[in-house]
This record gives sequence, structure tokens and C-alpha cells, in this order.
Amino acid sequence: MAAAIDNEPGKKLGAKFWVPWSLGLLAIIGGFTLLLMWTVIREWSALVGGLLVIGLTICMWGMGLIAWRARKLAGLADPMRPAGKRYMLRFMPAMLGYVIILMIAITVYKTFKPEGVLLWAVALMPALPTFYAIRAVGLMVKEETDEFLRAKLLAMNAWTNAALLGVCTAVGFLDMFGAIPHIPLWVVFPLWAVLMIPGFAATRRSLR
Amino acid sequence: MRNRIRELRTAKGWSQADLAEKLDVSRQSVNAVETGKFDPSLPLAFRIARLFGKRIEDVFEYD
Repeated sequence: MAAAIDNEPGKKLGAKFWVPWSLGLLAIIGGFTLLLMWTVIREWSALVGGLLVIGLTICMWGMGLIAWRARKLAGLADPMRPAGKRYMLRFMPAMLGYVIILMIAITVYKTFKPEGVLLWAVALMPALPTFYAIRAVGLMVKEETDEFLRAKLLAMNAWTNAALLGVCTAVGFLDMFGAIPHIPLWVVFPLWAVLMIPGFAATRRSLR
Repeated sequence: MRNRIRELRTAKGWSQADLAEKLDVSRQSVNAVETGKFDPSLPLAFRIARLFGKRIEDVFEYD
């Protein structure tokens, strides 16, 4: 009875679930990476690259959903907080929109060669969904009413931003001294999104 | 800071999730406070004490 009352964390789905799930995830990431490399080598259009990124994003969501559903069915998943739900409903479409708008902007740029104000408009188009995604992170912290979770979120964001700052500073100097080829600044946003993943994983582990 | 939340909670037959629902916080939050990993704010500490019908100093004790 004590276990039911305590509802202690620590119960896990086990290797029977996580081994095939991890292999599936690796296969998806590996497969899409190879396909993306192939599109770069063959110099296929941004449309193909964009579709591949959208496909990868959808597959990753699907894997996340499978893991969440399995944990829920096993009675291991805590209910999602309202602020977390709203975050997912804001951030995920923003990321998808980012890829789609970037794809459109590249295609328009290559096809119509816009100039002047139109060029500015086309170039700034992909940045708009990134503002929405960054806003989603800020709103999640603001809207989370649970003080413990909010403290965790703030710490996670602080570490993510610190890591981003460190990486960008180091890469900036490598770039300045000509040690590496020039890297455009737009990579900062995808890098930020990628750096959030270990932050989320570490935070989730600490919440059990 | 030490607390008697686990003792008071189990005496009532509540799970961490039950207590979390009554306090309108996450189950993780209850677990963190209960195990001393996180010190709650004064408003939350008062809410916890009131829920158990105790004074705050009967639930929380400063080390």
C-alpha cells in the first residue's frame, strides 16, 4: 500500500521498450542525416532539403509521442502542465513554420532574385517564426504557476543560453582567426533549439 | 529545511499526486519539497500547513 500512497518516482518502462525505441530513433536520425547529406552532395533544391527536415521533425514528434503514450499507459507519466501544453502548441508549429518559410524564402530568392525592400522582406521572413518560438519559451516560464517547475525552467534556460554564448564566442574567434570557414549567424537559432534538448533531458531526469 | 509532509500525507492516505492536486502544484513539486530538494515559498508553505490543519512551524522546521 505504501508504494501506492507514496507514488514514488523511479519506476521505469525498461529495456524491452527503450532499446527498440532508441534503435528506432537512431535509425530515423541516421537515415534523415544521410538523405540530407545526399541532397547537399547532389545539390538538390532547398525544397527537397526542407521536406526532409519537415519529415525528420514529424518523425521525432512521433517518437516523442510514442514514448509519452507508453509511459502514460504504464501509469508512469505525470499529467502535462497547462503551461507545458501551451508551449508545445506554440513552439512546435513555430519550428515547422520556420522550416517551411525558410524553404519558401530560399526558393523565392533563387527563382525571382528580388532586390531592395523585397530582398529585405524575403530575407527576414524566416526570422519571424523564430521570434514566435523564442516568445513561446518566455511565455512558458511566465505562465508556469508551479514555483518548483518555474525554477527548473529558469535554470534550464540559463544553462542553455550560457552554453550558446560559450559556443558562439569560441566559434566567432575561430572564424575571426580564419581557423574555420565562415559560419553565418542564422545558425544560432537552430543551435539554441538543439542545445535545449540536453537541457530538457537533464531537467526531466531531475524531476523524477 | 526539514518537514513532516510525507508523514502527514501518508497519515491521510494521500499519494503525492493527490496532494499535488489539492495544492494545485505538480507531483514533482510535492516530491521535491517532501524530500528536501526544494524549499517552498512562504505562500506555498502556508497552503501546505493549512491543508493539513497545522501551523507552519508544525510542518516545517529550520535546520
